[in-house]
Amino acid sequence: MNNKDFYLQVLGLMDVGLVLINKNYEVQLWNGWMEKLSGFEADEVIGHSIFDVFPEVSGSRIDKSINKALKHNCPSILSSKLTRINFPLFISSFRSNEKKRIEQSILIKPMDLSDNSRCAVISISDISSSKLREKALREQTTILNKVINQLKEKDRHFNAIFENNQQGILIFDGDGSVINSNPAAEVMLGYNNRRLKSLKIPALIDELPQYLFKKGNEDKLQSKLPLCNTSIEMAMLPESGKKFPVELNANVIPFDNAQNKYFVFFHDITEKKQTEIILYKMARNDSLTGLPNRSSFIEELDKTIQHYKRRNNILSLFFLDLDRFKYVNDRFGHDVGNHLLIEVAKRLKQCVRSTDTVARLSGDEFAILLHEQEKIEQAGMIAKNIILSISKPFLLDGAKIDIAASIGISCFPMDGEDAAVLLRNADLAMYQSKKEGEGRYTFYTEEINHLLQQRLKMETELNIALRDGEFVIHYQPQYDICSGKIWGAEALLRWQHPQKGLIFPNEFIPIAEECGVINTILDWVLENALVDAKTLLNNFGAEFKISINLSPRQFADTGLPQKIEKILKKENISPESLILDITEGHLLAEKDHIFALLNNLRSMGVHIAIDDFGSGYSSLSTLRKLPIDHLKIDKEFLTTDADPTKQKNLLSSIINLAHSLELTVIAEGVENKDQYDLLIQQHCDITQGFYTNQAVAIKEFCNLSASNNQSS
Amino acid sequence: MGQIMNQSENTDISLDFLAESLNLGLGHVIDELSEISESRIELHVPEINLIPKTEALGFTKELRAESKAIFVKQQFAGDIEGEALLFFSEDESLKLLNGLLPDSDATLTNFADVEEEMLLDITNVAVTGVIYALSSILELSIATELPKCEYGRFDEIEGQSNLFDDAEEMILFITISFTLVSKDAKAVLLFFQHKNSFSKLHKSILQKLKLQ
Amino acid sequence: MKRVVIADDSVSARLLLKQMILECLPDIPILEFKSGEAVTKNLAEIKDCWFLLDMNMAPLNGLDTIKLLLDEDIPPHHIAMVTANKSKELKNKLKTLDILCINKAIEPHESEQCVAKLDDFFKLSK
Repeated sequence: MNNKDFYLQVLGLMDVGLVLINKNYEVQLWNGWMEKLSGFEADEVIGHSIFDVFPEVSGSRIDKSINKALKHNCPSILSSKLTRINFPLFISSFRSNEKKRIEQSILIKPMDLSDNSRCAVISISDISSSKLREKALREQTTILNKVINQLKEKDRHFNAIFENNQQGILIFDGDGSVINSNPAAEVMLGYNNRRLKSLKIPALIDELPQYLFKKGNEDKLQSKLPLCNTSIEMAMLPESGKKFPVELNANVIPFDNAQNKYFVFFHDITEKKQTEIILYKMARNDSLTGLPNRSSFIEELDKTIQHYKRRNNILSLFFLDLDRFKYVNDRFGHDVGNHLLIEVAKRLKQCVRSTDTVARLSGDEFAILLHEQEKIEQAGMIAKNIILSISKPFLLDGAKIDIAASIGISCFPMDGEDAAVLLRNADLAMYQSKKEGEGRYTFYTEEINHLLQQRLKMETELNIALRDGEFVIHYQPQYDICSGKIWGAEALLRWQHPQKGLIFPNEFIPIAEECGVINTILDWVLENALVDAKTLLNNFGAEFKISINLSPRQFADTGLPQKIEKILKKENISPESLILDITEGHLLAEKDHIFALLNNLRSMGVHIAIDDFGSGYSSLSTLRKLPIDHLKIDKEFLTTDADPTKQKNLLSSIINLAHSLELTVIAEGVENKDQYDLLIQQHCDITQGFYTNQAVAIKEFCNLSASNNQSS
Repeated sequence: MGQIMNQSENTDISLDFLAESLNLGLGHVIDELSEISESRIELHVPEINLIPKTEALGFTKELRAESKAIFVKQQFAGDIEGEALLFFSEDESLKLLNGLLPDSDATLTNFADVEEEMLLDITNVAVTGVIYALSSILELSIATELPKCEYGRFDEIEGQSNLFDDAEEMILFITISFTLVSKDAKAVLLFFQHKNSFSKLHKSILQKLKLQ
Repeated sequence: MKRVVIADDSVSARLLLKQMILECLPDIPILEFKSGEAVTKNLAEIKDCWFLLDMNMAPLNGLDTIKLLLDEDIPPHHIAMVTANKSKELKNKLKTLDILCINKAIEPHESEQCVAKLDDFFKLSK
């Protein structure tokens, strides 16, 4: 049986009408379905114009769509509802002998042939019942595409397609008996056509065992076959016994109602698999440095551990992170950064034995696996060497670059018995090294673990604190120096720990930042301070100001202005009553973004204060450009160990400058009368600090008399 | 007209050219649509813009607010490669399809297979019309695939399709409104080209206009 | 020397049309307008021109512009509409006004037809 007949047989079995039309509108292909429903045999129509076969279609939408495919290279979908005239195709009704014209969904696709002529492929499905309709849309496109692809496969010469095809094809029925095959399948499997027909599928395809072909297992069989225009990998069993991998896709041919038949297309992917192995190797290595990557390193570590468990060997694991790598990237660009990583990889390899493994985990993180060590101390020696080697300048692209390495070391079996634990512990030890400064190495110890445990405990406690309302806000009164009256208050977050008592933010904020609850806490402060503000405004008058510290974390929150606006509205507080404090250092970083945010807030009416002024390095000229209303002097300027005259002059010039920019000046951390008097003398506007009043809870604050100033 | 124009003028003229081609292409489409719908449907192209990918994604966010969306995808390949996407909310598409059905047919209340087929049909007519006009005017060879329809909650659809992954930074954004005899229905057609295709398209346009 | 007035809101449509006009009359001066209103506003200076107008433009579409031009006694054979619009309705209206309608080209062979039609228009209305 040649391929052409074979194709016709497949097409004949399809539950879809297929017609191929050449540029002269002559029918080239007419499948069994068409024969059955049109009443015309293929021999009667092939070579004749489609419009001679179906005169009523001439001039209709179908005509125009065929024309569009042939002339404009455009495909068409003709939906039944929008197609007035369809093909005269009929089925006989079960009840009577009456013939009924079917409702049709028609697809028309152009197909270019190698001799530059174009033809149109028409597929028609019967959608007379809604179930059929559903099926048609899902399957018709698939089948049509597949047929076109099959027709185009290998050689684009129309006739040649049928003669030689790379794809092997097998048709079989529900019990697994092979009904037919094509020459490609015969060559691939090493059986002739007659022999194949005597075999069953389980003897040919490894993944389709006998039980799938038992009666009643049809569902199981279909679930194993890739029916939905997908292909899967399976292994074929040729006569030679040498299994080979194929990519295979399959179709069900609904045939004589219940008796489904199947056909599979497959092609040999032995070569492709070999390419995959190469790709796999590539996937295991970091493309920049050529070192193993994280996943292959962990694999190797696992393997080594399994091996060593039996032999009682020890090994050390280094977790290495470069110090200042980010700076190099920012300062010299990514090309230099990449170049640096390559050079680092080289130096690392020079520091260890050729049997040890150096890997790049990610970014500037490396890991080293030291095999079979006699003494742990050796690991320390090697770590020292590495740190020394990395600390020598790198000369790259004309730049001299100084970096350092921080290393954490964990050992098997002492510090963990599997790869994940060892890697985590080495990471923790590295973290400890970083904390102590750059260019250090640390062995993982229980103590480090203990620190970690403490941190974990605090994380849990923070979450409990949020849940149980252990956070409180204290308010530090701010006094107007001229009148001596309370001017406003700064909201300060405190943690009322059930066992440890009052905890200040510097003890828990860094951990809250690391474990991700910081935003919830900050939102909590914002909301609650503004609720309290309402009370304070009622007690101290509409001019009262409430100051809340803004964390850099909140800068990233683009919804911040809306959030604040919402709370202000809800509490019915005028925006002018709110001052947001921003530390000078934070204000100067990422200027553009923060300026936009602050301007946005100010346009709402909210005031902005620059906090800790003098601690950062903003030049006086930039002060003019900052989007601020108030200036809070860093308390360092009030410390008495400075030269008194110098201190006085400095204060005086800051205050004068601020006043000339129409900024209110607030002095914080005022601890004694000398400082207070100095501030009066220099015309500072507002003070706050231990000398005037410490931060207190809201209730106590309300009990302060409006003019309760110790100095007055 | 041989003088060198700056980038934005060039882009403007490309857009103007595309808008003009679209009008020409849709001339055919309008004929065909009015024929198949027995003059129940008209088509307008009020807007054509080149917008950044991020903005196009922002637009899809709006669709998320709608309950369910229908989204028809059609690929084209050849001298220019890319994808056309047509979005309807479920309401809009039902309005459109109800308007198209002969009066005798019952009103559609939910989106099912017939409707999917009709929507594919209409989209295909619109997209192939536009692509055909563009390829003929610029003498490019572009083949259009058959459209596919996806339907469901927008997030689900979008989650699966990695929308715009292969797209260029700028996306051709066309708002099409279908006017029915009785009601309005609006759909948005997005054309996006695969990376590097827009510059190619741009070059062909400038050549056609003899500006390059 | 006679001049040609073209009105179309699309720059590229004008560029393409100009190319075609210059194929028929290589040295003819061409005046470009973006809308029908722009044409009518300058009518005093351009009365003795050929007019090639697009249908879809605003303010004042092609058809309304043509009516105003006819009111100003511009002879109908000096006016043609160049449009993508192929509707029978528009064609009939133009027919009653005795105005030539030229379809914008999509395919290369259509642009040849378009040039041929333009050439006829210029020759017949000389």
